[in-house]
Amino acid sequence: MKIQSNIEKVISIQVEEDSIDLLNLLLPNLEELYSGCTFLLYFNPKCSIANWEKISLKLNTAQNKKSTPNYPSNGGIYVPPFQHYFIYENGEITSKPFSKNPLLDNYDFYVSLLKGFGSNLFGIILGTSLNQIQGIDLLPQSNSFAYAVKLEGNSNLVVQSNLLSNKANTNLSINKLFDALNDFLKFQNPIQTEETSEIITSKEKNEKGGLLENSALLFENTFNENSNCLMILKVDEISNTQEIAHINWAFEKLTGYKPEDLLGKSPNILTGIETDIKELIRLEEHYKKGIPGTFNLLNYKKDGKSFWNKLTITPLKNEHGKISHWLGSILDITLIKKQQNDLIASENKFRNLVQNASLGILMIGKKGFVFVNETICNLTQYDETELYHIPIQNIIHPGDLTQFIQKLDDLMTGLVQETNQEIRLISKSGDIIHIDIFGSKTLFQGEPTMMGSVIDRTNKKLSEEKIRKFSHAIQQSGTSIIITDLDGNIEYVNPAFTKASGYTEVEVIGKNPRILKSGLSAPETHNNLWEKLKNNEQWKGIFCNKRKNGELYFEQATISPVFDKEGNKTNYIGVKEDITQLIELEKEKEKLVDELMKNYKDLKQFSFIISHNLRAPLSNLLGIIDLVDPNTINDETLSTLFNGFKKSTLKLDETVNDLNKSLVLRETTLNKYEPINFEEIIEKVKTNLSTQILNSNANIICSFTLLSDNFLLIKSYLENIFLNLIANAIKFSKPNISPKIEITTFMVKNNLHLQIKDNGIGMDINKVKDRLFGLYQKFSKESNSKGLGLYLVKSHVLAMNGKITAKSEIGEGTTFEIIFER
Amino acid sequence: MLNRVMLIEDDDVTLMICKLRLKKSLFCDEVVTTENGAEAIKYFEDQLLLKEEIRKIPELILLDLNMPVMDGWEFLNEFDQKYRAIFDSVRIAVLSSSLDPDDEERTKNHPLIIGFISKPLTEENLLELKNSAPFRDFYK
Repeated sequence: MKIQSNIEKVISIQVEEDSIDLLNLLLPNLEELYSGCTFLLYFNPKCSIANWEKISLKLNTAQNKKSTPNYPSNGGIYVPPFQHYFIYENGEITSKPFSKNPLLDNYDFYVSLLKGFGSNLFGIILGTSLNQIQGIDLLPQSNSFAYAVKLEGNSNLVVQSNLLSNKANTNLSINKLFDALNDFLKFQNPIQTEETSEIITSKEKNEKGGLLENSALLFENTFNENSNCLMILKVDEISNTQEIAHINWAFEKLTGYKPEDLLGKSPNILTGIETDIKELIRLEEHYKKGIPGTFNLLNYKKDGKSFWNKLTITPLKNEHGKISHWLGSILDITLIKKQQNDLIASENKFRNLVQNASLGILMIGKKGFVFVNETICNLTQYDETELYHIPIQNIIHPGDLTQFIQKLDDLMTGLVQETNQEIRLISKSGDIIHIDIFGSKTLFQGEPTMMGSVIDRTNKKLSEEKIRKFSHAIQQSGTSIIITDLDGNIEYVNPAFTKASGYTEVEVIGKNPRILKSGLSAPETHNNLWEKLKNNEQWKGIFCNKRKNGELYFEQATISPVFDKEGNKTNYIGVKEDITQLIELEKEKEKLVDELMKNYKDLKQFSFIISHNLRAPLSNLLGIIDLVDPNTINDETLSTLFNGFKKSTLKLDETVNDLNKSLVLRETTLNKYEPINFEEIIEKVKTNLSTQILNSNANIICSFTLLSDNFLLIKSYLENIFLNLIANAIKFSKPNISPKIEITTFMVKNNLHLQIKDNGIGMDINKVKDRLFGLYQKFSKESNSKGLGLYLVKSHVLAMNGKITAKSEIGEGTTFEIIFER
Repeated sequence: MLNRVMLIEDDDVTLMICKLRLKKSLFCDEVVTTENGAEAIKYFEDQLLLKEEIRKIPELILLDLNMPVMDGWEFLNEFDQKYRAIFDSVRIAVLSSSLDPDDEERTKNHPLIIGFISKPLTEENLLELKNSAPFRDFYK
């Protein structure tokens, strides 16, 4: 067996506190075995300096200051001077001086070399306790004294490999450990170099002692018995491809392959249809470039079942610095992968839940939003990415910002555990959104973060606003408003109620409105009220109520049931107007009307007195005149007196007649609106005035427009109007000129125009003015003018909602125009 | 010329004037005067007590409407009910100072009334009555 010492060898040892003594025991042998190797000692930080010194002092003869131990906090590198080595022989360790010290001159080189290896170092950890070491050495029954370690990254993942787990091996002595180590090194450095080669035959080995042989065995076992699946790939110098050179039993166990299945084959035999090509390419690149690496590959066992392989490859160089082998460590991470996938799925599930939650969910860190769900996006109108980049100052209303940040800080610093705030946000479009945010502290990527749920209160806020306005209106209303429960107990009254009733809110809450009852409302009022309300109907009516001070007052009330969303009756609302004043006014008005009616009746009575009591003696006078024949009066004076008497009597008769006519016309009930035939009316008037017409030789010219049947007027009034106007026209005709009277009707839009034009003496209309149509206004010295005619005409025109105007000039005749609106 | 005319009129001056007018116009031989409806009814009651030959039943009654005790309308009703059948030769002309058109309207449809005269009773009025169709039809 040959042991190749190679100065590029690095042996990394992790030193646990309780393995110091073992190390002390072993190191001399290792030094001897691997003289020229670099030992990398990883000290457990718990390992005290004293322990370190204990080792280093033992190893280092302290003749060279360059070898002063370097002891960083997380470990240290110790490059031994190798001036001494130890031989374990016949159960004793003896120290021997080491002639060569190549490391001393190349100290810096080795340090950098070690650094270059970075984290992927293979090494050995020795021992767990002194007792166990003694056990191995002295008590071979112990089954735990050595560990093969693989250092990955900074994680110091220690895969325990109990070399002696197999009970058959329990008797392995420490020699076996050395054998394994030796074996391992043999794998790593199969190529011998001439200068340094020192061929040690089996015989020689035996002569020198069993140590070398034992070391090789130890390494072999380390490899073979390692619970990690390990393989060693050989690099084909020509094709630069890898072929499997060794596999360990764990590998066999995992993949189901036997060494004979695999040796000399490409490691790609493990790949299959679903293996990620990208990862394979990356692996290939690592092989090419000769750098270690870790890969996640879906590989296949012999039986075709797939497994997730976390493959770590480490290049192994020969003495020329060329990569001759790769150590491949295979970790079955199928379960981990599955758990990972499950975790991802579960996280996705959770994420979906959060994303789609109707509740807004967000996380705010020191730099702003670190998570928002869709609801938050919808609410703010920003998309997720925007929110992660916008400072919260832009989203939180300036009025709430200071307070919010304060509370956020309190939460982050642990001053409070939870925060519940009502703040305003400003959406992308500038709208104000009212939200409630409930936050609690959590960690997100190691940073303190507020995790919060958000409720949009904007609508709630708006309805609150609405309610505020309505209640303000109710408070300010001049109308009393009472809200009661279904039993009629008062729940609310507004200030107007207090004003009207004299009772304050406090005095009436919980009481029944019947406290206002005066007992003077009609008894059926209340029965009717409750009947209506029970039938869910509105009730309207008038109460006579009593104020707190005993005063009576009248209220016009509307009481309605109030229903909730489900249609259940919840309350009654009474809206009441104090109409006391109105009622008093109404009473006064009634009184006034009564008085007027009385006056009117008196007046009517008076008109009867005139029409009869005045009429009767006048008739007698007329009768007497009729009976006296003037020719029989011989006395001249008497005759003159009789004539005067007759004249006055006739005038009086005419006046009383006119007066009666005016009164009677107003009284008569026969005045009904009907379609009008003007020809008929004029004929009747002509008959009435036949004597005058005949005597004056008057010419009446008529031109009537056709009046639709639904243009209604009062016939008797029209007769009277024409009678008076025609009579007037004849009466005031020019002497010796026959009166010419033109009567025309025509329509202007929907209005009927009546024109009566004469060629009479006319009048100065400016002098007459308003008095023209007045009662007992006389504008003529003619004996038979009494001044009642035009008054009657106007009365009749007005009674039919018409208008009358007159145009006239002295000597130019008069035109009356009457307009009736439809 | 009629034999006998009854005047029912409360105003004595009117009564006097009417009486003179009737005589002067030679409207009738005899005028019976009563001051109101009740007196007139009494007159007819009294006549009923007499033998038919000596009864003085007027052929025409000139009836005033506005009177105390029993007015014209009441008299019309009473006479219509009690004596119309007995004294079927009697007709009535209303003599009124009222200008109420309703009055005239009411009298028009009464079977006993053959005329309506506005006061005062004049030569002209009497002529008009005499020449009216109902009057002429009744007193052929």
